[in-house]
Amino acid sequence: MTITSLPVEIQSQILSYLPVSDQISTSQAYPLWREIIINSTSAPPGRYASYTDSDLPSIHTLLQGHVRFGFTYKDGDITSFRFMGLEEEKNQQDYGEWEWGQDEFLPDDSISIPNAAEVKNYKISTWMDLCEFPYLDKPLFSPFEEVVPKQYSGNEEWDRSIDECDLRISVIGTVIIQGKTGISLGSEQRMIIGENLSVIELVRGFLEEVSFNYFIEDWGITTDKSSEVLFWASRSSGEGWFQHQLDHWEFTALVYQKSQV
Amino acid sequence: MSTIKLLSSDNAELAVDKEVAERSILIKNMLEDVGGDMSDQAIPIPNVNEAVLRKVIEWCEHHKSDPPPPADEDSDSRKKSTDIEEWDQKFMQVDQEMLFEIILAANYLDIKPLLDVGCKTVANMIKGKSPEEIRKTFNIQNDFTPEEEDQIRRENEWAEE
Repeated sequence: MTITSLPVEIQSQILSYLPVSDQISTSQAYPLWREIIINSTSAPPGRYASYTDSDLPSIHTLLQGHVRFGFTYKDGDITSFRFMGLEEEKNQQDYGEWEWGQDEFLPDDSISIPNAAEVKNYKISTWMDLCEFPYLDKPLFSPFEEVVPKQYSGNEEWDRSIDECDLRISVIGTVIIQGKTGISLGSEQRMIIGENLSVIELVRGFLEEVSFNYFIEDWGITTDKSSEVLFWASRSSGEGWFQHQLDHWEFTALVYQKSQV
Repeated sequence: MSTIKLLSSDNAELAVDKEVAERSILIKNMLEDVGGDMSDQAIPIPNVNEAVLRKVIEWCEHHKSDPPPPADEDSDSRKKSTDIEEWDQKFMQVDQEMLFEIILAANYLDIKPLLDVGCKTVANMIKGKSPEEIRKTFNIQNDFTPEEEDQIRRENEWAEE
């Protein structure tokens, strides 16, 4: 008797308890599990983060604050996707390390990373490659729930910070829900609108925006060099710069490029 | 309190309190079908051997006065958390063979809370492991094709940069 000789529905139940980082690992360990994870028709608990205290749609787990979703691009083309899960640290002993040095992904306070304070309580797993992982094609917002349409006019802010050797830019886009799912990114209110917008469509839309935006080069990010982008969503209560904002999802991208030595 | 007898696949007869045995929905329904009187006849459990059946009865004994599980089977709390109460954790400290046999028996006998605990135990064994470690833990043959394997290898090289 082994795990793989259990009935498929029991193997499915086992996998359904796993957070997304472990679902990625299991999908690479055994072909049947890959099939189960890709084709699961019910809402796998690891795939969408739900918030019961809000009527915002649940967002894809790759983009929630407790994880790090990133990609690299060069000359406008995506060259890789990757993902790093943060596991709750129970015994506070076995801390992992940021692969590129912790400070690099926890920049100065002027850029707010969601849950940055909590990160210290989490064990950091290693980066996992996502290029072949089908989660990227999944809708950005949970298709397993009804969303009440909302009117919202977006706004955005560009932020910039430079330290001695690296450049980072954060881009904040905002979500618009108007019956359809849509995203506005960047300074020119460029919008990506689509039914069931997928994670990868959001990322491509973001890249298009970046390559159109002259600020990037002004700030020393060159398009012919590989850039690393960290991308995440956070909930905004609607208080802050603009009073008229409704609750919405806010997307932040941190563009990162190693300077030439 | 009435007692019933269960007959394992290897022909061992085990006496169990009716109340305990009725943690199994399969046995509960069976008893209802025959009008509750099975005092002189052992109920055959053809898919479960004695050692596993004893373990399952031990679990049912401990959990005999648990409230019934919530009607909403897919409730978030049940699905998301892999927390397991201490007694159940100890109970599940068995070798993998026995663990999977218990899960199968819970499935066959329709003891949902035991099935859940078993699956959560396995999920906890997977958590935080790399694909290779998962295969090693469960002694899984690498069934990926050479091309798929090559893809995974490239992914790993890239991740180690």
